[in-house]
Amino acid sequence: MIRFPLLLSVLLGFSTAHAAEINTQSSGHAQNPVWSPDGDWLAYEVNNLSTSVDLWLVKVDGGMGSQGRQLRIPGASRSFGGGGTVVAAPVWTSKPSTMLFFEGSNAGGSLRIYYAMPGSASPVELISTSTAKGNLSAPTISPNGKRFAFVADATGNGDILVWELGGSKPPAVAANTNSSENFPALNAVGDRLAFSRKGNGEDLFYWNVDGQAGSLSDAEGDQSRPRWAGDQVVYFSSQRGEGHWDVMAVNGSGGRPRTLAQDVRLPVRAAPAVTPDGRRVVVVSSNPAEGDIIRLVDLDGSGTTEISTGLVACGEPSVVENKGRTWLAFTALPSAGADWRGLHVLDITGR
Amino acid sequence: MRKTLSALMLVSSFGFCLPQMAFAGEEEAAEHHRALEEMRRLSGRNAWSGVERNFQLILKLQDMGESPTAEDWMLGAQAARAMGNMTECRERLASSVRISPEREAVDLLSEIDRTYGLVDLAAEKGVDATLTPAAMPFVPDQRKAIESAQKAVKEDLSFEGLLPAGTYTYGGEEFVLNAGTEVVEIQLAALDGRDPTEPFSFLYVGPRLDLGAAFTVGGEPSVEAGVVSPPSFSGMGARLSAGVEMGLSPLLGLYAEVGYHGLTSSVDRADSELLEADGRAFSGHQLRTGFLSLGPTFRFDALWLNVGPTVSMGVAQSTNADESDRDNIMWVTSGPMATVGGQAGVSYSVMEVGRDLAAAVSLLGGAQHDSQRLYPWGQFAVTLGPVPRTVLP
Repeated sequence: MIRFPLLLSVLLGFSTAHAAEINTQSSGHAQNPVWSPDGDWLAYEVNNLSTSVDLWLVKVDGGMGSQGRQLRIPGASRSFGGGGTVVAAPVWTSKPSTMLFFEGSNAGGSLRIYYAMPGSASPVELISTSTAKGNLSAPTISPNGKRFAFVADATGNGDILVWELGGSKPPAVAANTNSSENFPALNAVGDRLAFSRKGNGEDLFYWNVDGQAGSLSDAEGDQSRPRWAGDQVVYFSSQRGEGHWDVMAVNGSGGRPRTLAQDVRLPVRAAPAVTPDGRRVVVVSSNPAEGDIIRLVDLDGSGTTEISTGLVACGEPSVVENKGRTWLAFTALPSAGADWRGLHVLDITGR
Repeated sequence: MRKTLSALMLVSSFGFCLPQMAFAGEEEAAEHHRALEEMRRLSGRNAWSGVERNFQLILKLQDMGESPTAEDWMLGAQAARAMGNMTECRERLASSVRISPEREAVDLLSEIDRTYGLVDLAAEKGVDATLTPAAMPFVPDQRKAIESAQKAVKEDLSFEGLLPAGTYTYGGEEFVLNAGTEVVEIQLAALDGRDPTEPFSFLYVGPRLDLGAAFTVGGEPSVEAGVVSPPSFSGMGARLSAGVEMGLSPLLGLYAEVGYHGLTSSVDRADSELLEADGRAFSGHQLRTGFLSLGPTFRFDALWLNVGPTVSMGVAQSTNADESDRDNIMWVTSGPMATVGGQAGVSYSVMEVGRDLAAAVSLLGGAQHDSQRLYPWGQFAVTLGPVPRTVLP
């Protein structure tokens, strides 16, 4: 009697998998997990919803996490006091070497961009105030390590600056209108930038190194948090109305956007998760009844794979390949009514 | 120097502590507390020069018996790191770990040892001792560490400390720096001697050019009575020479040049139309000679000197400006005119041309004699010569 539903599950690509929980050692919600490009490290935030957002780093091997390390920016040393800090929005690069960039601020201080090497808990400010004043946020780096982009608010609105790494030139302004620009995302070779701009709603734009710029999407509602997937840009859209977030895709040169998934759970600050091959986005439904299911949606619209986790209110997926296997990190409540969201890692090889 | 560095690393790693011989009072303790609070506040703003200033104050208090804490050393290390002084950073970290082996300090110490290596670079004055990385890292502490070292080798002619592991060129010598405690030691010596056991070779060899304009005078003739010889004449002309310069030492070299020395000037006579009507045209003064000059050169940084004998051969003509003498209008040498003399020059190097040459502005002068008269001359020239760059590592 149970054969039929089991067979149906397989045909739909639906099965239940058991995720390993990473010990986050903290009282707070685990959020925004981001894999290092080699899959050896996982950065995540811990938000206690009160005084601080902390950034943690854990080494992961075979789905098992080692003891996590908190990345403390100068002035917030664990041993010597401090507190009230916000350290968040991690982004990795593997070129020229594996390192992590993130934004951070001490209590009452400016938000600045820092970097750290995995294995060391001593972040250093990446861009000095003599180079870029004000609050700096939303760091992003092209996968080839050639260009780095971030948001600076020295002019009063968020502007996007692009920095050619390895050169001697200071960061150059890529977008600085009277509106606020945010969420910069560089493509694989670093010659194209997608970002959002807040005007009458939030819309998507692009900027090329050769100076070309234009609109990517200006539909109703907000279009936000772009991420490159090959030559396409995937992003979140609320064009169907407030509270309804969809994942869309549009060609990086513009064109007609396509809906990949409707009514998804919006991560705290991340762009849509994309598999390392750039062919699928990873989403979780905003419907609480489907909160245990993580979906891998093909960008070409050919299909969807569903992974049941057995957990509650899953969200914020991040995928990486490591040693021939594909690993999914995500946050979830261990059970309904639990206090804090935990961090989980799941082997989804072959899914 | 190598021993100094290694000892420094050893001491900082294994933690020899010198006993404190003085005891601080309440005033020092209060000042220490104030400086620490200031360091905490400034570090949160990444104001590292301010942190360093307060850390130096704490070090002064140390002389009065006030002991820096692990946090003092840690903040001092972070300040040194932010300002590119990784050697100091490592020492301060080691001091922090000696007091309290906090994981943050230990990990940073390990990270430095994984990514930085020790160098001992020194150069004698006059040697090009530029330090250039094969690739400039973009992370700020590594970049600043290299920039600090580049400044030190340029201004102080030496640098002893930590640099990011990688490939560098120092004074034309490439070296690979590995992370860890092995010291790369390079001493760039000026060329002040020659190993007598080595076969002879010039220390440097390069082309030498002098291009400019000269004012030349054909002096009053000194001839026996009855011999007719043109009177004194003078004029401007081009003087160009090319040759080679070879270094025997950084100070002393040899040059040899061949060139052209010319003079052209017109002569105005009121009776020129009458003379031309008689078929006795004239065309002013002219001197066209080729010359050879050789001798020693002396190099004092940007100041170059040279002196040497000169021989020349060529033709000349002179026009008689004395209109009362209608018999001798113009003299032309009937064959090659040979002169013997000497020249001297002083040059000041103004810019490097490529890697091995330098351009200079020069004043040259000399005099030659053709058995009848003296030909003194002076020249303003642009000189191109070799740079005695080769060094003995």
